[in-house]
Amino acid sequence: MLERASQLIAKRRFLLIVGALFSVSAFGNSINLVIKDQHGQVLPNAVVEIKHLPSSKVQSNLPTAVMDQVDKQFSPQLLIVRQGQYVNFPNSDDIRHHVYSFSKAKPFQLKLYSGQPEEPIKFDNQGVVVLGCNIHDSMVGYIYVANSDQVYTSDEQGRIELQTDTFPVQASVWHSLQTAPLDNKKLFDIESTNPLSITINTSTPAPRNTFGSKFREGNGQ
Amino acid sequence: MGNNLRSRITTLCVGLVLLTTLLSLVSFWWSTSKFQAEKVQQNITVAQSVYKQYLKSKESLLLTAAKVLTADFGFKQAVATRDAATISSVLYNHSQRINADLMLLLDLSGRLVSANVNAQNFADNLQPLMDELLNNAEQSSFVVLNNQLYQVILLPVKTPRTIAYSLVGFKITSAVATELKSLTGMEVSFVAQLDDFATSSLVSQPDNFQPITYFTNKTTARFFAEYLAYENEQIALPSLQSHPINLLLSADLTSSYRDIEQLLLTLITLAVLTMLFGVITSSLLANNLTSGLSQLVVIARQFAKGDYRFKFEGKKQSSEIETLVSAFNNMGNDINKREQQISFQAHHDTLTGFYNRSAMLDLLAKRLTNDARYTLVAIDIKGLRHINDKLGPQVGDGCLIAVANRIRQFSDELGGFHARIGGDEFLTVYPCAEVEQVKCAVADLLKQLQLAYKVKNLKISLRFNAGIVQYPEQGTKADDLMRRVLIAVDAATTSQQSLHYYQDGEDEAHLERLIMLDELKQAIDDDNGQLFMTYQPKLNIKSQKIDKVESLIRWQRQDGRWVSPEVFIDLAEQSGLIVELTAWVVETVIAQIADWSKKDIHLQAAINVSAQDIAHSGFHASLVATLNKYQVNPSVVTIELTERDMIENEAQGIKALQDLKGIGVKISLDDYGVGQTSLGRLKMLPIDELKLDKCFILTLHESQKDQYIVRSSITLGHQLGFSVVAEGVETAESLSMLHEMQCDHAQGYYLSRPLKAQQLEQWLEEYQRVH
Repeated sequence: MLERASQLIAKRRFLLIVGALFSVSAFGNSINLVIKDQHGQVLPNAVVEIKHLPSSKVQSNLPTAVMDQVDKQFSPQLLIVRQGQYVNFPNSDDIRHHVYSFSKAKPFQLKLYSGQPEEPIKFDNQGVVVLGCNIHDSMVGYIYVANSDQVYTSDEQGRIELQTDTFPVQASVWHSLQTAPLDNKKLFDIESTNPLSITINTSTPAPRNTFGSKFREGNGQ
Repeated sequence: MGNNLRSRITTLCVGLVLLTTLLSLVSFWWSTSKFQAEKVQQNITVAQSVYKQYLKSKESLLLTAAKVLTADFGFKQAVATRDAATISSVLYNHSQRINADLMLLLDLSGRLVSANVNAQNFADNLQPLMDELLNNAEQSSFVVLNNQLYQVILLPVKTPRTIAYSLVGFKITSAVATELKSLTGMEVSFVAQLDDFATSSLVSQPDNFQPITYFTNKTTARFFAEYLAYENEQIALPSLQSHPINLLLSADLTSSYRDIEQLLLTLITLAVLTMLFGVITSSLLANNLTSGLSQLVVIARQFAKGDYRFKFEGKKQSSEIETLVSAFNNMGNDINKREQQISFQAHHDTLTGFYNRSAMLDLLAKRLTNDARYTLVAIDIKGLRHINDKLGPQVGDGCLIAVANRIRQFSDELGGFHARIGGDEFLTVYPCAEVEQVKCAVADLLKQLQLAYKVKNLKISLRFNAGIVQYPEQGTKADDLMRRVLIAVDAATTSQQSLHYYQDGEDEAHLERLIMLDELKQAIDDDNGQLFMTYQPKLNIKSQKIDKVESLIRWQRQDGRWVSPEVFIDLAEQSGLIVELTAWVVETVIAQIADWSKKDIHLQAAINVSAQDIAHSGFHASLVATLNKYQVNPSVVTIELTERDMIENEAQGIKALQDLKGIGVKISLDDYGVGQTSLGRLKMLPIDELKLDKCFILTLHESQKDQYIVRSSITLGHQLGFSVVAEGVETAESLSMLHEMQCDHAQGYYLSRPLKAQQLEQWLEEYQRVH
């Protein structure tokens, strides 16, 4: 357990660094956001996206992102890509996986495979793609397909530092545990550089992989 | 039931059996009921675990099926497509696959997306149901949907996030209840009261069937009362909070009741049989016991009647009864022996073994038949008293036995019988035809009896008197014959003959004597003049004065007939009445003396007494009392006794006479000269006067011999210091001769016959006037 927790923390730190790279390079004004849930707890891994109108074109030279499968977990669990970006799904486990998605943004399936799949998958629709493995129910992963180039992820303290030069600007916030349907993104306006606190209603995730225990019980084990 | 032994034993036995039976019945009833109740409880417990297991496996099945369904990629894919028709067909297909009766797909907000059955029957929004089921994640619950009871499970459809919920359920129908019933052996009902739903395994359901009401109130009619037919256990099944669903397990008690009743019936039958057996055996036992007893009762009654035959019939008895029987037997024998002994003693003389007097009377009465002829011989041993006195009663008894033996020998020879009818009297009765034979036989008997006896080494000769009576000539009744034979033997005794044949009329004379005796007694008691005293004067020859009288008793009976003093005094002496008679005489004479004394007539009076009077212990005191009473000087009273009277009980008599003399009374010896008084004895007698018998005086003037005797007797009397009286003086010559012989007093008809007191007084006056 401890080992797994430290791995997760390491992955999130990596994501933060990715987000920061995007923002620092383009804009001058920074705005601090704190994302909290309905109980006032800070929410890490919330995704905030700055809307640009009209939406920027799909870039064609985007690097291929990687959604690895390590130790029967997607790694990272939340991957943010740009609309049109390719994602590779290498299998680092020594077992096979059957990665699928029924999300509207990108339904697909990679039937049982190991190692590197034949080719990466292109995510050309914006939205949230929930990833699962047909043979490992406990595996869940998210690919957030953004159409904006300004996408941020909250850190462990739920903080996000935005870079923007125009006011007001419309932003959306999303979290994998939000009670609203998964495709919904909560919109809000940023009108000044004042720090903002944004609340998202979340629900506690149902414990994964409890079927087995019931089966065992059912089988009299 | 009576108080007798038999019914007591029977009652006891039957009571014991009854008690035992009742106790065992109650205990059987109790323990069986308890056992049955425990069994029912146990069955219910088993049923509970069975039903749990059953539902659990059903739940597992459901869960497995649901999981397989929700995990199916194709299903997930279909659900993800949100294509209603596809989803519906998938649900139908899968419900067929896992044999689920209900399969619903709900979206995350609880709206029904699709169903394997007609979806219109379901409420549109199933969110409350879903929410509650989600709380019981992965556990089946019982819900009523669309008026049907289902065991359902709600599972999320994950892709991999939950995109929908699938509700999978089995319909709980009466078939399920029936299956559970076959597993548990109990009626199984599912009741959802709030949903107004119930299903039950009960086959024949009444109209308007409500399982809870039905099973808790249903009764069954048994032996004694109505009993509840079911034992119920209500179990809450996992269900929605607002729609509780219960499982009702109802154990049918009828068979258990039937078992108990069967057992009870068997027990009662056994009890009745046991009781019958008890009644029979106890009555047999009682019979066995009491038959002996009742026989003994019969025997005892028989004993009471004097029948001592002992015959005990019956089977083998208990040792106690045997003892009782043998005791009865012994008792009977003992009583019989004793009775015979007593009867023998009652009828026999113990000394000789002869019949006694009363037995002889009975025997005679029996033997006296018309054609029989008997001779009755009464035999009296003379002087047996003397033998007893002198040689002792043992010798006397020995004599009696010896005599009895000879009599027995004699009478046995003649085919007669015999009895001892008195102290020294025997009676033998033997058949005898001719008078000559009788005499011969009696003479022969006396001859044999008179042969000397040897008793206690003593040779003793005995003499006998015999009285003889003939039957039927001299009497026909036993007691007449007995009395007459006794009269005959008495006659023999008095007449000094050894034999006396009863003469006709003797009995009547005897009877007359008895009557006379009775009248004499009455005369003494009444003192009404029948008896009176006469006084014969005695002349004092020397002084020529009358100074003495002899008092003589006279009896004129009420009918006027005179009775000779010899007769009635003899009678009084024989009967013992003499004592009373003498007392009367003494009183009368002393009273007379006192009377005369008052009239200045001074006479000495002589009173005749018998030996019995002298021997009577009261005589002396009575005389003294009478003398005192009338203030009479004892010296004027003379007691006259005959020689014979003086001889009897000589020593005692002399002593009594001396005592009388001691008080001053004079004693006179009467009838001197004809008795047996020896001169030797004469000198010893304490007398004052000799009275010469009249046989010497009557013919004194004619007989020289009488003159010699009288003269010498007078001289002898004078010499011995006695005065001498001559009685029977009837002539002047005799008187002058007596005068010449110096006799002191003369008495006789020449002077006067005995006179009554008043006549005597007149005579005295006349006499004194002449002389």
